[in-house]
Amino acid sequence: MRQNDIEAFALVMDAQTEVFSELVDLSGLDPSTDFQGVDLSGIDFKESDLREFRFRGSRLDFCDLSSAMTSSRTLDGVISIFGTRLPALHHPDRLVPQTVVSMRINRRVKSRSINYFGSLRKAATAAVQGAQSSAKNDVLSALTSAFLDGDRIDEWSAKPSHITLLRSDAIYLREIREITKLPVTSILRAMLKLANTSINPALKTEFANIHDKDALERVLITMRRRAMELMPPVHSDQPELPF
Amino acid sequence: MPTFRSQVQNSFPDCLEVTFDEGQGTTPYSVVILTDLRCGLGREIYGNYTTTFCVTYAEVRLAADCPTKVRSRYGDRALQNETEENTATTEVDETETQGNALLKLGPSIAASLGLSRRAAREKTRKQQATTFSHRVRAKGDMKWDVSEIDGTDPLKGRYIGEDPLCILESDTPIKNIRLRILIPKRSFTIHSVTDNESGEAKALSLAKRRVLEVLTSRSLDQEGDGLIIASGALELIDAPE
Repeated sequence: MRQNDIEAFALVMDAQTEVFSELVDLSGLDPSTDFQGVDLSGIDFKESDLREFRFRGSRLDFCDLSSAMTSSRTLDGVISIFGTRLPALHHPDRLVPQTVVSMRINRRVKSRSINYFGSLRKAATAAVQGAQSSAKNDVLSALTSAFLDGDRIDEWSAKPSHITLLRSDAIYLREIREITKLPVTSILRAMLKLANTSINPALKTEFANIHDKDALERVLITMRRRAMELMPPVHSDQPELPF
Repeated sequence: MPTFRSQVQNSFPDCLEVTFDEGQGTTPYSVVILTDLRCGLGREIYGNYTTTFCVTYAEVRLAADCPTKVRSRYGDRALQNETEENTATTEVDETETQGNALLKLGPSIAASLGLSRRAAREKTRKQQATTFSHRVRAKGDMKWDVSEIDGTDPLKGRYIGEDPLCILESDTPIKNIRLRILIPKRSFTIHSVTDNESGEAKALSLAKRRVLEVLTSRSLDQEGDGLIIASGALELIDAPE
């Protein structure tokens, strides 16, 4: 070991701080290269500035990134992020949950990049066909996309239970509600976006590829009917429902 | 019998001891590779602190200076060609299955999907196959994996050495053979850190532990994604003309 590494060892050992990025500063390690391919599972990254860090090939299971500052490239190429609390959205240079969720889905189902409407269609198909291994991911992706697309983004980000949802066997509305603790109206709002795609002319071609189209239509109709029963009355300051 | 000169370099001999020699029956065209690999807790002094560490996984790599065929690999096992599969069909209570399905879908969705009341059969499939676990597993391209059975326990004990690692054969004299022991960064684990003055083990947060692991392993040479913890060479010093 080099002399400066011995000094760095002592600096880290004697440090009063537990903030990861500050410990790395003291160690003299290079955050852009030295933390690739390592196991960082379980670390609480509280108040860490991770914008210069690159974790490609690393494991970050059960970490807490909720109060860390990250860049859009910090989590590129991580091997796994099971149970990890994601960065809060109030940081200016944030990583949105959708990115992480998509990474996970891409790796699992080995699909190409999942586009927004493709996910919605797959979620609807999964709902028809029943629980499959990737079905919950599709529902999750659809919900996340819908929330990120809509005005409920803050509500979604405040509840990082989407990771719990990712790891669960939940597929149906009741189960999703139990896990996420989101109001029924919020989940339905996301699902309604899904339902609304069937009446959007621009998306007709997307649905043309679904084999069990009749079954999909039945689910969409049911969803809309259920939503009408459960949604609270629309007030004047709320946007009108899309159907 | 030809004469080979053996050299071994080791960054952490406490943690991973390696020997590298040729065995009985070696000729310039057929080299019996003898390797001894012992693992345990490493111990290093860094200023006022002494740290103990271990590895959980290692990869052994061989390379020769000419095209070779590999015979009698240690840790090699041909998979059984035949596997057995038992399929069982179970009848379950119709009412209960129907109730669960309705509960899961919700009455209106179930009705709209036209859930059949007769669909109440559950199939279970059981597959039985004997699995074998090897601490040392031969791979292709003259590589071997070394780990404990569950993959997370530290390497502790003698893993290679009972039998030759392999036999390398070539049509031309094999003059140089290289051995490298690589570990992935994530398999390098600090076990404890002790204050040399007080003799007390220091409490380490997970963040500090991980930073120190990266710092400690930084002195190792890197090859691809792995760190070279030890290397060896066999050089033929009386090669035939």
